[in-house]
Amino acid sequence: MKNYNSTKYLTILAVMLLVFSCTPFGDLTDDPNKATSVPPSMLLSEVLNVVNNISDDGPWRETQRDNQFWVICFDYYGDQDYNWGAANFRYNTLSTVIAMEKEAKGLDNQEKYEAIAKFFKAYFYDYMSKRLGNIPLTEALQASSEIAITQPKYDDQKSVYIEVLDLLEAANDQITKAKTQVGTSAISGDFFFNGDLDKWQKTINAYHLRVLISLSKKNADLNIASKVNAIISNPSKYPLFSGISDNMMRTFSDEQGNRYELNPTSYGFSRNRNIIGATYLDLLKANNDPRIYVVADPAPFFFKANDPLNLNAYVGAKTGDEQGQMQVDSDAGKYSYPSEKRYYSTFKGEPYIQIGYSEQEFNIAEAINRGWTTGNAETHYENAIKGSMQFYDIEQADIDSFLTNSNVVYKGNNTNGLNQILTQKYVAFFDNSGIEAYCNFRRTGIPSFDIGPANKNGGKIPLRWKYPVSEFENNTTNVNAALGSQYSGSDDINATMWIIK
Amino acid sequence: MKKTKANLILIITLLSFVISHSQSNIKGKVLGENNIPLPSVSIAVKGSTISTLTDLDGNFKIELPANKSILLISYIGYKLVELDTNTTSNLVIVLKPDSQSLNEVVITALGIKKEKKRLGYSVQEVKGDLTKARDPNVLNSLSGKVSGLVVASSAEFFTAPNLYLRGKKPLIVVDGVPLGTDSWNISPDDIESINVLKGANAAALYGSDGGNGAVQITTKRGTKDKRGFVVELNQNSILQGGFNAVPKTQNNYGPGSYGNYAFLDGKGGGINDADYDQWGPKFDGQLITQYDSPLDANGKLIPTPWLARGANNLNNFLETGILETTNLAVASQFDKGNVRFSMSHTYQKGINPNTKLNIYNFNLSSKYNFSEKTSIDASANFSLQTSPNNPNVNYGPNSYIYNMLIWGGADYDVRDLRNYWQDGKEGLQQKNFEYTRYNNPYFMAYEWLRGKQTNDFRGQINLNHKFNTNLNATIRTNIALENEFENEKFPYSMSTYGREKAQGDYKESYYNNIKSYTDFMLNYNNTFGDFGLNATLGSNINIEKYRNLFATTDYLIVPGLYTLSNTQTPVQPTNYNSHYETYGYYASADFSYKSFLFLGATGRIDKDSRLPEKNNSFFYPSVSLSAVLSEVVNIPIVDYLKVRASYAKVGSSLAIYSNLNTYKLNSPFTINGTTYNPAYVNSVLSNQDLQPAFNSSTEFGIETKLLKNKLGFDITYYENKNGPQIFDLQYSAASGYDGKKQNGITTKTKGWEIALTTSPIKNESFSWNIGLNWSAYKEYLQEVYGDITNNGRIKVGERVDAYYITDFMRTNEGQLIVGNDGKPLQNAYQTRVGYAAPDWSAGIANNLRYKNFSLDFSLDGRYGGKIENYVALKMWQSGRQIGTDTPERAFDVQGIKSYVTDGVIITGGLLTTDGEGNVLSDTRTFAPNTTKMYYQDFSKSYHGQTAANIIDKTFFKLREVTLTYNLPSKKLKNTFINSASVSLLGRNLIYFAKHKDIDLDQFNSEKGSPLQTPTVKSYGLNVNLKF
Repeated sequence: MKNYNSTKYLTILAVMLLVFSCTPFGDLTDDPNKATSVPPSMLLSEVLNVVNNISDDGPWRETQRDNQFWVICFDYYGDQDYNWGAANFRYNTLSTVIAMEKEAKGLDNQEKYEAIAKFFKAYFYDYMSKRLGNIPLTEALQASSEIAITQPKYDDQKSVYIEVLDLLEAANDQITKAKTQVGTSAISGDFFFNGDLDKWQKTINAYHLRVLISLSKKNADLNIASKVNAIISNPSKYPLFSGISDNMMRTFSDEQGNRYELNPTSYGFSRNRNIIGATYLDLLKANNDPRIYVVADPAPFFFKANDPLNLNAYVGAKTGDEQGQMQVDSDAGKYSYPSEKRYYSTFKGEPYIQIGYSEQEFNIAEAINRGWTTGNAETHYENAIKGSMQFYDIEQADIDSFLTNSNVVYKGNNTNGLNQILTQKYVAFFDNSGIEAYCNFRRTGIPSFDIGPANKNGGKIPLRWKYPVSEFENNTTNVNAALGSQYSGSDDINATMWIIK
Repeated sequence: MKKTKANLILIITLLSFVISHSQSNIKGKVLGENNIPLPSVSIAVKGSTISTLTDLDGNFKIELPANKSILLISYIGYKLVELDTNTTSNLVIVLKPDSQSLNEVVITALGIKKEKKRLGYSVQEVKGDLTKARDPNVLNSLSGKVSGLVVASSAEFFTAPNLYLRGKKPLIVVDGVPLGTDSWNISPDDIESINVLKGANAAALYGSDGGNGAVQITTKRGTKDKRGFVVELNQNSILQGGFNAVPKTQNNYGPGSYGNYAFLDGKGGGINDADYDQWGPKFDGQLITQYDSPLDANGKLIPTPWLARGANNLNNFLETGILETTNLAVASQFDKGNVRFSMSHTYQKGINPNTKLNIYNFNLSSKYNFSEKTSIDASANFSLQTSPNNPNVNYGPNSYIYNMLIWGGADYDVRDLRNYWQDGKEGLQQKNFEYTRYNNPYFMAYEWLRGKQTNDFRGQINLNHKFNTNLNATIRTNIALENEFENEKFPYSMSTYGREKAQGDYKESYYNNIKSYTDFMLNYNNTFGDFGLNATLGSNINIEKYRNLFATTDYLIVPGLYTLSNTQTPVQPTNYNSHYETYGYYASADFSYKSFLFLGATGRIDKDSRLPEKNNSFFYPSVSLSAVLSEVVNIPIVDYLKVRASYAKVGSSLAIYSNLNTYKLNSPFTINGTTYNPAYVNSVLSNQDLQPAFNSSTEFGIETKLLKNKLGFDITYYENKNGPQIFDLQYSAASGYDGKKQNGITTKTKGWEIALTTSPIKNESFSWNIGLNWSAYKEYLQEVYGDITNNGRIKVGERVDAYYITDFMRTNEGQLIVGNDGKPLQNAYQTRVGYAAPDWSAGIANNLRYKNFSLDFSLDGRYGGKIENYVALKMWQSGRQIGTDTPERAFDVQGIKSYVTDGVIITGGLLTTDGEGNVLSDTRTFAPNTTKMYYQDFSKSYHGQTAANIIDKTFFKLREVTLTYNLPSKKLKNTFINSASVSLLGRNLIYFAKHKDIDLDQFNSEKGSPLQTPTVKSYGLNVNLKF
């Protein structure tokens, strides 16, 4: 090959090879896929979803088995052995609540977000404390503070509830203030109330009553009676639910992420395995309760076509029974299942009540029964029952006849009357309101829960959940101190926490 | 190098003629093996410039100055001899051949070639032919061939194996460029060699990604054929069938529960006719309504005999796999350079019906020498990989194993379901044995289609200029571009987890990845008397840009129309983009003293855009030393002995965008027509003071050849300090965050590697070579952060692969404690059952050659390590596991409880523990359990639990067997064929393991096992022709 000026060509080639596009590093550090700031509405949707907690507490979920409303006989999909593990913390969600306040800062609806943020804080502290006992509070949520606290100390349960009650007081005050602001935009991302602050305020106060009543054994320590009275006797300051249309509840539909747990596609998975709990069903049977025909189907084995309303065909499964035999009996058609029409035929099922009118009315009735405030307990007791009946679209005539049932007629402001309130409250909690049915049982022993051979907690209904395992790995000293001060150093699910002592 | 040496010798020889002030003349003769005279052997007088060469008969004559007496006799491939003429009168010198490795040249980091003896770290070359007993993925051919390298071969179709080098994922380098490979775009026919740089010590120059060592693939260039050209055709045909590992089932009981089953609609209308277990009635020919029972006049099902019609369903369903590979290569070597073109086609038909794979690889490489000094080398590779259907094998209704071996029973014959549409409902409704949870396997195979197509293009151009014999420079640019498209057609009436509405879906995803790597290198080498220097100075720029897009429908409006817009409710597509760059500057220097002492050092500075700005530049060094002791000391029977030591530190970056405080999005949900988009706070706080991660490695090795090279060892001990890493320091969740990015966590891996080679027999017509590799390592947690002494459950000093599980509750004597229903109680706190990583791994390869025949066979596997046998666990739950066919089970179906768990019940007292499960007091009293229960309940609550399914990972495989016949060249003399060989081959022929329901090959330190497609053996034929 002839000689040529290779140097020239090679230089060009070398330069070509070295040409590449470098980008200043400053342009590469940010994540183009994620936001560093979002509208508070998106954070609100997340928080509400956690409050709602459908996957644990929702219809036909585990919590409702612990409440003894239904029983599963298929051990592969679950059990009701009460061998409880750890409860969840909600501090990550509280960080999202704080972020929501931060993102709302300077917006015209800042006060609104802040008001409901206070409610969320109260809600989650109560959520955790009623399950666990002492929890971190004063030193909590300070990982990103100037002086970071990464292993917060635990506060005693009394301090936690003082803070919860203060937050609910403040939330009501701030929402009152926010409502007076004219021309400000509504909060959005709110799938419960679509930004309706009146409904939010009623919810906060109804919830306030729930918390106060849950502290009934601590009247002396926390001055519960006068706090209850302050709310009930001042409806202009503390507006409350006036009917079931005010309920804080989640509705379901045939849409992505919103299908009811039982539906036409789940029939094959659940039908012969999900049985109505005897604890609940027997209460309906005992009082000839019309709700039984709405929520349950009769057991085919006992059903007689010529006597379709005979309650003997309504057989619930006992929570404590061994699952194997229960499955065999279920396959023989000897149990009542959730109503096919109400629960399996659509994707809507029924709404899931988070905080409801009926519960509020039962709480007021209980407060009057206990003499903590004035009023007619019977009226509120009956309002509560009617509210629940309306939820099931029971005809007025049937409601009226039920209310005249001698078992149901209010027996006065005495223990019998209280038992009636608590029993009917349990019935109205059917498949809703998270662990409230269990909490009321834990506080009052009503109704009596079933225990049997399938119980794997030494024949007891536990009184609490364990602390998260991660605390023993990442906050060992403080969690052990909390166990020492409350439960003799053991993370015992049968130990009694302060609020129910 | 060689040339330089020859020149030097020539110059010295000439000089020796000029300078001739003789004192005494010495004459002698140099012989080699078998006393054959060696010509051109260099004879030099030590301490002078006098030297000469032997003549054709091995004779030499040299003048020795008065004060000198020592001759240095050296010849390439033989050991240097120092001869003192004062003490030796016999001047017939017999040279001993040096061991092969002395002159073995290996490719080190960045593609730099070095003599192996100079290396102070561990490098191992893969021996043997990669093109014969092959697997669709070339990396599987490395199995057992390199000590310290575990190839965890997947059981699944079109799935690359996972490689673990000293327990970590190594970098894969092609032609000196660390851009990785998807491993499908390389055909073994194009591979010249593969060698493995075992640790950070060897791979430090690759920068961050080289911290765990590297597997280096060097592709072919030109040809070594004497004619200057070659046309090569290599054809493989392999059949795949015959199970190595497949779960065994009982076929005496059908679907149902406690012996009860009756089909009505398969949707829960009958008795346990939906989403069922396999605890149903015994196959006794009794009459039961079934999915295919005929209808009577009223449309009611007529009961039919209950028989195990489908005892061989899986066998009947799976097909023989086929693997065909063809490679055609044309290569030429000419005075100005070389060129090679290669085309490979791989076709594979999987054992699951309707699966296939086509891979087309085109490879073009060429070198052109502009002049003596300047050359350019370029290559381009294009790969097209296409597979119209590759089923999802994960646990779920998408899996054949799930549908046929775990939850599906023997009550139906899969062959009856080959026509999978229901009459009159074509396109809408599958025909099946159940209509809630399970799917017709044939319907899945032919209608649930998961396609994939990958286009991969990479190009490299490399310009080299030699300024003089000592100095040269290289500029190199590479671009790798990968595009992948995947889609999934999910038909009406198919159901899987979360898609129970069963109204079809369509999904598409794309990704595009561009990587570019450019480097500039300056190399200098020179010798100064006994000292040699080899130095490199370089820099590189690495850029990676990635983007993807994914969208799916939320059920289809029109059945069978697979478009994204055909969705019942609106959906949101998702996408992701990333871009980072790193700049590296490095230097390396190798010093040598004579031919026995070598010192190497490297240093590198990286600048990485993924790190916080103030700490994004970091430096790390390495140093290595090797001494060839056999050069200075004569040890009996030892031909070659080298010791080495090295230390290296490598810095690395963090996962892109992982150290930013950003919001995260949760899945959107729609309530009454309004869609909500939840966002939440990232639970890990960022840290702007974050430093790069570092790991360092210290390694010692000894290499030796004994008994005239009949036996060779290479033994390495290493300690890798992995850390301080970048990790999420765990906070108490009550702090509002789960933790913060921090530098911390250091683990220490300690390991041994032994490679042994031996040639027990070697002569003209017969030879036998054996290579054995063995390695073991353990990784311990050494430090966490500050005074924190645990990382989650693992405590400082404990092995990081400690395996904790929920065990049954037991008495101090180990007896099971059962509840009042007879079911074993679970311990609330976890206990350690062992360690997940294998104790050791090993491979042995044999090569026997007799005349024109050669036989290669290799065996490899791993010993120890624990794993949960998930498929067995599930089958014990479902009632399909072969062991569930017990006498008590026969009572279950009669409604009689007969099983009594061997255990105790608690009769009183209390067990009190602290929050971590340590016993505070135990006053429990026990009595033998007498509760009778259904066997079904025991099987589920005992055998169906993790604690009853922990098995050893020990397995071995007869990996490769190849019998090759090379046609004698005499026979080909008058044909156009230059050389030819035919081979019979087999792969994975025997699987040795205790539990053969699971193929343990795909696991290294995993604790859980996914479902697998049964693994099979391969048998085939290879023809190789050179024209």
